[in-house]
Amino acid sequence: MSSAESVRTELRLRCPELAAAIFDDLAPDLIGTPRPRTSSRDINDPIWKLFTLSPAQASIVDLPLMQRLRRVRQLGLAHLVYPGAQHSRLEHSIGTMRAAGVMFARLSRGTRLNQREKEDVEELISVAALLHDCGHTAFSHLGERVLGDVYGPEFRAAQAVLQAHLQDPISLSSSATATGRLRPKPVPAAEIISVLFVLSPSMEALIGQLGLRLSADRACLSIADMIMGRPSDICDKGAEYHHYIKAIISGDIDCDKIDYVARDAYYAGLPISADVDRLLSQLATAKLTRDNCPSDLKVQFGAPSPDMYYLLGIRPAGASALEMFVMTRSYLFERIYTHHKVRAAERAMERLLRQFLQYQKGVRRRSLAWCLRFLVERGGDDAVLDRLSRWDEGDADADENFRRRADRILDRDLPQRALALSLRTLADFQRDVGRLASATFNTWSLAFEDIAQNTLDIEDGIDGLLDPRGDGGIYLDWVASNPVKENPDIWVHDPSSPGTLLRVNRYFDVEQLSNAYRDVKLTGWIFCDRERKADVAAAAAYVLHERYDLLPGPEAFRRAKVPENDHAAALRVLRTRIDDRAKSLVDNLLGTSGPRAIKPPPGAWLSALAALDEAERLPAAGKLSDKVAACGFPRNFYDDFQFALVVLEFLVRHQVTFNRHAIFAHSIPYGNEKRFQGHLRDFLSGDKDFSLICTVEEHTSASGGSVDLVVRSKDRNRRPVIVELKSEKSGHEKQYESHAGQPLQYAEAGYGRVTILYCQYASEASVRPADTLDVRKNDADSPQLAICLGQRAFASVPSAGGATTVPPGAV
Amino acid sequence: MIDFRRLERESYGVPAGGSSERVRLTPELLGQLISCVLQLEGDAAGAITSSVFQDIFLSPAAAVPESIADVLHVEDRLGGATVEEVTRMAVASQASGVAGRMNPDNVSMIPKTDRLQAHSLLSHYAVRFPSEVNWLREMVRQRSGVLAGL
Repeated sequence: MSSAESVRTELRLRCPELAAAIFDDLAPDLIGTPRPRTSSRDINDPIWKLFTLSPAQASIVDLPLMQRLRRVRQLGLAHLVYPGAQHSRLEHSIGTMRAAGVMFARLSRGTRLNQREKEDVEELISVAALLHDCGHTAFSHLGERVLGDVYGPEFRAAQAVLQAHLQDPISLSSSATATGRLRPKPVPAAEIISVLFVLSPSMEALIGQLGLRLSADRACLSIADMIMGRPSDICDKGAEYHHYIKAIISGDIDCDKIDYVARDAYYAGLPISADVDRLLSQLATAKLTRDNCPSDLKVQFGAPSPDMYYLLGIRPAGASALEMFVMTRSYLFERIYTHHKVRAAERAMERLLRQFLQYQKGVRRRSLAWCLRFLVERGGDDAVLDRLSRWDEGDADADENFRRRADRILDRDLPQRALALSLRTLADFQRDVGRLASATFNTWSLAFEDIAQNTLDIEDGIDGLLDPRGDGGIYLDWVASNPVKENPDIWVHDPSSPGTLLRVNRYFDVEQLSNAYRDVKLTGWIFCDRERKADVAAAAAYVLHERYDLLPGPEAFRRAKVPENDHAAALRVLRTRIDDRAKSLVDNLLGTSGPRAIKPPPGAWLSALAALDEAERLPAAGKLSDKVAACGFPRNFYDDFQFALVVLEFLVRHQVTFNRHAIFAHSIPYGNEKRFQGHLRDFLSGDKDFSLICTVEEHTSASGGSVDLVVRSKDRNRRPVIVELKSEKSGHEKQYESHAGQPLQYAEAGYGRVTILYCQYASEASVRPADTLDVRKNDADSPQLAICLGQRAFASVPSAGGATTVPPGAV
Repeated sequence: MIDFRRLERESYGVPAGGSSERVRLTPELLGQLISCVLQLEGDAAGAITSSVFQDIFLSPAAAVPESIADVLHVEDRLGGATVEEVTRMAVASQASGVAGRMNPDNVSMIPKTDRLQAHSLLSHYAVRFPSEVNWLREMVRQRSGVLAGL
């Protein structure tokens, strides 16, 4: 079993900077010489009303480490939107301790723990709850996120050490061992810092003087265990396992959530609040034995595993209080945590902190200890902002940058919305069916992950379009994911069948609750300075159109409160500054050049060209993309275009695989083409992937002597793609000129408007497969697109003495 | 002149002078890929659930490729081991338009692609992640085979 000292030793070895910063620098300063209190103290709290801190609890609250949390706001910058949301991490920590105490008292009633055991556990739980946020830096989660990124290797090393030493001694699930290849869930930086403070020599000395029943060493480890959410040594009582203790510390309705949901709603002044008193009064342990274990639980019984588990349960009468709690939490996400103005403020603050900390680390060569001290300084959020607003280290460039950014946050001069980006704000979204027009589906799906991962590039693209010296005043805040867990481990005794356990979600539809907030949660925003909202909206729309062929619709601007006339005017100004190709994109956004057209970006071609070498693929995709964009086909072309790209993917495979495998051996009319047709048909039919989605057949009704294949999708409502085949002893370009117009004959026959012309050609020059790719627009009443590709064949059978040999099966 | 944008990039772990241009494998991307694989390899209606996501990664037979294991984490719950990122995967596959309906821990999502679109998306990402896409397809095929045999 580990000791606190052995954990410290390994931490010093694996993450020396972080360990030294906390153990040797911050902890001695913020914990200092122990001065335990001998008297209790009453606390009056708006959520928990009047209650008493024990001397041990009061001693911890008195620490500078905890007192500084008075000045770290629980909700970061949300107070810029909700002026009342000024409550601190200290209030929350004390409230969490109180919630843990109430929950434990309520739940332990139904167990066989004796009074002494209850007091031991409660003592530890309360100290752990008090200290769980002691490592929070200024600006709470925002600060920890930046610190964790800038010093990623140190935090990852610390996490690995803690997870190795603070493991669950028993595994509750039989399948857990099978998952050894996946790592345990990541620990946020603030939690790691909290645990390191708990394990510091200074904290061990203090704990040793608080009069706890456990030794200081064991108490520190147990508290660290609990903060990490794995308090198994105090849960494990031999034949009985008190799982509810783990649930109180880290679970679906743990003491942390119980406090912050009630507290955040209260201080933000929202007219909704979870009925915490009712919820807690209805908590009751549920006894899980081999006899009543639901089939979906993977819990082991019998030595060495326990015979019975006490689970966090709730009486049926408490289900509505729990429902209200979940609803309040969802509501808080919409109204506070993901409020657009809060997100804008956080993005501005995050950029300032990232630039500041990276500057200190990379340019000033300052240590992790320096950065950590800067963020955990006693003055909290406001002191950090104040210091930044007065920053003066003799580097005028940096000083001015930090001061300007900090001043703007202090003055609440926050970035404004310029564009709302979601599935529902695109021009191609069909409100009546609640989805994108099928034709443009792939544009959004492919853009979604690319935008998420390349926000900095997109910000730079927008900024650079407006001002080549861009100062970084553009913020792209992408879709926030939904953290509400919908299948909580909370149990209800079935009143109609005593002893039977049901999951609480039998009592209310959590899915429906979350649906109510769907739109807000899934909106990404572009933010910018107030003065250039319309300009940024226009530039952002342009960049998204150019990169992904996304067309932000009126809803994207309306939600951002950018008048349509303003952004249209800004687009027209933008048009005057860009080249002709770019002008066509702006025209498309404005809709001034007729129906809006497809502008598939190079990325749209990548799957179709997958068989090509990477060096050939990207230039070919760029060339084809530009050519199709110039054709001006309407948006509903995408359906036919995307199907044709899927077919092209298999044809390019064939092209690359059999390039220079054919010889123009037949002298009878269309003999070569018939052979080509048969070979290609067999190739496609034999491909498992192709057969999964398509069928291929010879086009028996083709006229004019052409030899074609018809590819049909196995899905509904897709028009077949015609593959026009040619095999002539001429160059591929000449064949394109002669035959690309041939598919016009199918225009009225229910076939897709995008066809493929696939030629076997002869050439003395060495032509790479990618260089044969081209597109031709067939102008007619109903315009068509022909995608062309060529496969090089031998003009004649090479002589036996020639350098070239005929590949097997070529004829 | 200090390049503050470069400092900001470096703070995310993007190397100096490097580009973040290429898409990385993330739980969100995995969510989209699985939804597409389910649509392509079988009848996805009623089959796209979070528990299917779990099965794919936690099945005893699954030799999860390292690149996938690197972005996933496991949590021990009463119902067994749980992939921590499952909710993120589900939400991403919905937000990207691949599937519909929110938070489907215990209900199925609605596939929003047809098989051609699913194939198209998978082919696109297979250019960058060929072995990962193949592995997912193989796992779904195996799973379908097991279910068909029941």
